[in-house]
Amino acid sequence: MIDIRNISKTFIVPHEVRALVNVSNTVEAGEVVVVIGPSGSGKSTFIRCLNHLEVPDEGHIYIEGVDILDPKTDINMIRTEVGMVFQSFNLFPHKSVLENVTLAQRVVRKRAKDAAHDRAMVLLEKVGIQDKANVYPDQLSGGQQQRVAIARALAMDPKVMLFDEPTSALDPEMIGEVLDVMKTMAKEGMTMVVVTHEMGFAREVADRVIFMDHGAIVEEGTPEHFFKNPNHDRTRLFLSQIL
Amino acid sequence: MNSALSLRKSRQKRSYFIWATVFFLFLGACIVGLYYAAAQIDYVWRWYRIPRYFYYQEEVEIKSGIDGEVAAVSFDGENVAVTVAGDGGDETYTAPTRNAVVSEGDMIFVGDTLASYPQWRVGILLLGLWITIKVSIIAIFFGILIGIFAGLARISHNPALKWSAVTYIELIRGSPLLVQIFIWYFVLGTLVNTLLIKQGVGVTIPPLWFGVAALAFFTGAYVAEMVRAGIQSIHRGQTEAARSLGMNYVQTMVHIILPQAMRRIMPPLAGQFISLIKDSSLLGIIAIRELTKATREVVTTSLQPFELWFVCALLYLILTFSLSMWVQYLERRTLAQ
Repeated sequence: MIDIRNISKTFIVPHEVRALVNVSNTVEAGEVVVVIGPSGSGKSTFIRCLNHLEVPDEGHIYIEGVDILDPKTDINMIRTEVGMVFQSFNLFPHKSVLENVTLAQRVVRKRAKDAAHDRAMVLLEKVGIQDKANVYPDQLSGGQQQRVAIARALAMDPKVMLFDEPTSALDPEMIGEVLDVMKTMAKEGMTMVVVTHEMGFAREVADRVIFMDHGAIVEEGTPEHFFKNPNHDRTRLFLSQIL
Repeated sequence: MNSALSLRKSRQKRSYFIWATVFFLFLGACIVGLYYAAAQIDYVWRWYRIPRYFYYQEEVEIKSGIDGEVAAVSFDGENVAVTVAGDGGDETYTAPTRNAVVSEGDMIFVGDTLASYPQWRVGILLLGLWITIKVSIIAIFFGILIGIFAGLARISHNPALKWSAVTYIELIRGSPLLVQIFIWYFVLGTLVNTLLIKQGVGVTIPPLWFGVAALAFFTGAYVAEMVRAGIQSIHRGQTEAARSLGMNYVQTMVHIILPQAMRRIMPPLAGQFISLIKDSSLLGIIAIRELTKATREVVTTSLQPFELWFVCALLYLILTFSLSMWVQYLERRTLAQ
């Protein structure tokens, strides 16, 4: 489904930072891949490359066979198939919850008003906020906002969902409600790439765990392998620091 | 403890009233001083003459177009019809009055008054006020449009767009509006209208539109900088969220970024538009009879400069004050949301 071949990315801010160094990987349809690693390891850059929010300097990324780094590719079409959830929610503050979820359906998918509304209500019910449809985002808690953000991304009926540290900005008691929604999605067979520090989620839901450090994939494998007997010292060190 | 507190409170209250009194005394002293000074130079205040420049009654005279004799004067309700029999046939004139100044059998020459009636007319100050409002509204509308486009161009990565915007903004902000109005009217206006005549188009663009253009482009440059600042103040995550949903640049700007940016820059924008209303007073110099030019004309005929300039200032104050009230209302409404 997603084929990543030898991507590299260097930032110059103000000195050179090699965020990604020759990274390759493949994500199969229906797979849940969790990317972990220390901060500055390039995992956020990696996931942001998958929907062209960052553009790698080198390499290729194929989504369902389409090279998204080819200038001729209609990137907006690709992005409708790749939903993204951000660390800071990024809900549209001037639009109600319902409008947040219907806007892109209407503008991008060109759905009729009623169809967009119905789809939005189904999704809001799924994430458990149907009774807040008409309030504005600043009246919601962080956990509720992030669930709306998930509904907003799902409204485009994407084939893949990207999560960039979805629970890092949340108060501890709200992390669970967001993770529950994500678990449900995983069970329903959604293809997911998740950057997170929630090891419990990785252990329980992931099909595969990728550990990144210094812009490269150090180790990958099943959660079983990863948490019980990792091969690399760097992985062991990281796990010992966070578990 | 309690009594100390109430003592302090009553002291605060007393000093508040003292300084409020000082303010009103100062205001009163200014007015009295003005009247006293005017009295010293024997200025006669004639406020009662002012309303006629807003609205006045004019005696409309119905005049005969032919030579002849009044054949009939007939009344029909509140109207009068005067029939003049001339060599080339009869002519009938009607007027909404019972006041015919001729009677049957009178000899009439061309231009003689047959009947007259009073009619209310809009005075020159009100006409000038209307021109000021009209020019300001049109210039604000185009100023916003120009400002949004120039602001977007200013933050574009395309050098042609970016440098055009920078050049435009710097040129406009770096030269006096008065000079710009002269350039619009005497340079561009002459060029455009002469070319139109040479091409045989037959119509020329009236000065009003060059004045509007000068104000709109002047305001647009300032609005552009505000729009730029407003857009840059919106968190990057908003753009990323919109783009990640598949929206293109224009959709993102129209639905997500500009609504938030415009809301944020509303207060400075209102200030700019208040400036524009006041700056429209410069347009008198290119023969646009807006409020200031109208006042100047009335002053030369009425010789009541003191009253008229105060009235003129008051009218501008009413315009700018209502605009700022309206913007405050809009702000409150969006905040309540």
